[in-house]
Amino acid sequence: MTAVAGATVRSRLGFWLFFLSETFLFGALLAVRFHLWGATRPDLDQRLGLAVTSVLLASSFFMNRAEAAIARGDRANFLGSLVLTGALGMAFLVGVIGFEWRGELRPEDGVYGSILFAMTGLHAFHVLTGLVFVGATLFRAAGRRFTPGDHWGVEACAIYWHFVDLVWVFYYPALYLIGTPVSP
Amino acid sequence: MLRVDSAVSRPSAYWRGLLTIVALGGLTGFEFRISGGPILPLLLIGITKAALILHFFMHITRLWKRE
Repeated sequence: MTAVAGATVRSRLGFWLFFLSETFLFGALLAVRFHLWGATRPDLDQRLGLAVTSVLLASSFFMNRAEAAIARGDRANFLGSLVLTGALGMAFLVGVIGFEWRGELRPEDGVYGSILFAMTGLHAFHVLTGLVFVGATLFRAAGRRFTPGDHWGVEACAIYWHFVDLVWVFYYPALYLIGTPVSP
Repeated sequence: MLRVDSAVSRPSAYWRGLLTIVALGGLTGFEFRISGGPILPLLLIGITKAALILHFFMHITRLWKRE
């Protein structure tokens, strides 16, 4: 095993341990949601929920494509896919912060408002940090720091982005789909 | 030089990503249609989507596969 490969294996393990700790954080909020909301949920805009979910899934596709492209040395596809990932991530934030947060429900509206804003806020903050990660990866890519044989930075960025998507896979049904809608 | 990431360097990686997103999109559409129903199907769909992301996008098997 070369030095690059050895360092990648160690970095990868450390990164996954970080995700394990993050899972407890997101999982705690999910448990609070089911404890306090039970079989109910706030009456949120279903179309908006589906739209932002689709946008985030699409961003994961392009991030995967970016990682596959750099592994093949396909630089144009890599950069293009990374830019699209960032653009879709921003579109997700606009959907959540610009539209969902401007709805009728406010953070001070009891358990429905507080949990909705806590869950979407924590997730949106991770999307934001993911966008910073994508920007930093683009900056490093502009300096041709990544090669098909050495691109741990791209892989780390991709795993982080997919983790944010993974969290939303459970947050989306918990917030928008499960339970009977009620007007707080 | 050793290819650190041979798993994604195969030509089929693009197609695998495309098939994965189609499956994720289909499952998302299905869970949207059955919203408000019993929790179990939605939970199973969520777990399936998570497994797809963990395996095909996050490549969790790299943790124990030798490069």
